[in-house]
Amino acid sequence: MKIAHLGTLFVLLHFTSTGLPQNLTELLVRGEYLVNAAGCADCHTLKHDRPFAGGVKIDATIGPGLKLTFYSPNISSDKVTGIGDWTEANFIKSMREGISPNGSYYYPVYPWRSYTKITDDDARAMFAYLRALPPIVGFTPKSNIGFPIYNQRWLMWFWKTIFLNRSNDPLVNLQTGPGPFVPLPSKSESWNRGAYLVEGVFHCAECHSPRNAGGAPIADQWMAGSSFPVGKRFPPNITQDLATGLGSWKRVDWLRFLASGISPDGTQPGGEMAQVIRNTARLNQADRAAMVDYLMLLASVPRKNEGGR
Amino acid sequence: MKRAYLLSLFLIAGCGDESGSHKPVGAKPETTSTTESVATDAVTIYADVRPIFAAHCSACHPARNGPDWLDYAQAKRYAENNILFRRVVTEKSMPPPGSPQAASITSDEREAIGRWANARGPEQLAAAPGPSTRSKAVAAPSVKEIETTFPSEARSCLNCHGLDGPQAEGKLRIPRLAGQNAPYLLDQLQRFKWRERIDPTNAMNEIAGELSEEVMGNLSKYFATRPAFGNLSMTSELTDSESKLFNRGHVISRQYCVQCHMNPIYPRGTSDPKIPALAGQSEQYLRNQMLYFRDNERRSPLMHEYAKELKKSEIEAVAFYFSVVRQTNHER
Repeated sequence: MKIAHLGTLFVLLHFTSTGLPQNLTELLVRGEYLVNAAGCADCHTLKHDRPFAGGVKIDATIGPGLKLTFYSPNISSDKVTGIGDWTEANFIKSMREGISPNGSYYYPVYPWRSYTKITDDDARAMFAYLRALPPIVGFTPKSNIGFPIYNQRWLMWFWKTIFLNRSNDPLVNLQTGPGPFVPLPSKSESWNRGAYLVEGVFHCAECHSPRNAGGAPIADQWMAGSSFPVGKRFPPNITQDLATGLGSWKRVDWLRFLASGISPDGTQPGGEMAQVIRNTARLNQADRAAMVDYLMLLASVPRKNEGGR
Repeated sequence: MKRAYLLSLFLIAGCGDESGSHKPVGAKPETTSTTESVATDAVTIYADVRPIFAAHCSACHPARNGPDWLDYAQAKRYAENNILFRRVVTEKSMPPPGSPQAASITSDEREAIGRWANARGPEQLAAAPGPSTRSKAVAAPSVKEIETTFPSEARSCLNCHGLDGPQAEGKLRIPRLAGQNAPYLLDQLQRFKWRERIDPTNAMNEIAGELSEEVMGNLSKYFATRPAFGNLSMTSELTDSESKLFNRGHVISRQYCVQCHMNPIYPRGTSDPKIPALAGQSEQYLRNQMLYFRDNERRSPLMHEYAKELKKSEIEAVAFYFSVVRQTNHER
């Protein structure tokens, strides 16, 4: 899906200001890098000339036979229809706890359960970037949230209490509540960076982990393949299992895949993963290597992928 | 460099005409004709372009942002990473349109900067003054060269995939092979052979069907080593409508294409050797392939995903952009 780019930003600012102070430039560059990595535009940009204006239709399967239709909101800098009137604290809270500025809960279709791991500084940079882009005015269609939730957002309180306030990352095994990523001192710096990127920014587990009946990822089957299709396909088991996962991939295979989308057997992903590849291709080499460091240490979970590999 | 010093003084003082007051050493008289400027042997060194920088760039750089163009080391970096050439010559986005510097810079000066950037920013002349290896378009191979140096199996490829610059009518939709990634060429030949990729005219399938693995490997390696040409003209004089198309293609390509196809963090610009470099490729070929990807006639789940999001006019803009743009900071 489409994303905005810094060129818009610099064209805008070049002729309106006497130049950006260096630290603001750095903040915006970092924000752009992270917004691209987190894939915000993949859900929030319908047409690339209206970046982050929302309106993307997302069919979310939350249980067997239970499909809900969401439409993503406008997160451009427009004050009325976008996030132009948000404060930094609003934005950080929405990512950290899944609560909007007016106090209502977000459904986990917005992957705040993963974004909660993003640090405050990074969230600030992302917010600065989104706010620096030109405002796009536009209301988005209402999401169709019927059975069994009927758009009762307060029900999310139960869901959060049961499923968020519990550590479910077997390798990472961090804090027991929502909170930014805390590096593990026993692991290397690269692994920690990779864990941050994979679990927080890229939210891989949201698609690649099987979920229980309540719709939360299952702790001891981390990244072992999705129980529901995303689009037409099932995101596969990406643990180190040899038979059903990616245990046969070597390090160069991983690096190559994240840079180009080409698997060791020459096949390519399509659908949503193609959007992810576009985001991983634009990371710098060190970040990709860090993600691979983390991914190659995932616990091996033998779980056959439902769609067939 | 006394001459350069005096000239800088002369220009900064604001008097004297700029077009005729200095000539690069060893150069033919500058012309504004695009065809001649491509073939000229002119070598422009830093001392020749420094006065141009002083007159047209120093008011904003580095005070506002960007490099100090009067410092050779910084200027050379931007010559090498192609940003200077792109901004000043191709896009003409620097000096900013509407500024006094943009009004006063002449096309000769832009050309001089372009020559200097193409030569990767030399400070001095090389020991034997002569054309730098990157400063001019590679000439088409002569018949004799073809007969003596080309492997025999490659000669028949030349009938359609000519290496001779802008392609003749009727062959516009055929891709250039020169300078393409060898693993990509080999992969595509294999796909043609095994009919995983179907050429609409069936020609490539028939031809590749008769090639052995060894020959396909040799051909791929051979064409990869051929210097690419085509869009190496230094003053890409785009018309207004072409500029608009170029800019549109530029914007779209930043979002969709360059991560894998023209990313300077990778050695040859592509994120994998099996991914084709696109800069300088035939415009019609690029457009056709994107349409095939969109309609799944050329099977690539990844490319299909991107192609289906683009409107036809956007595909045309991107195809034009890549056919015109120069490859960044590495040989093709």
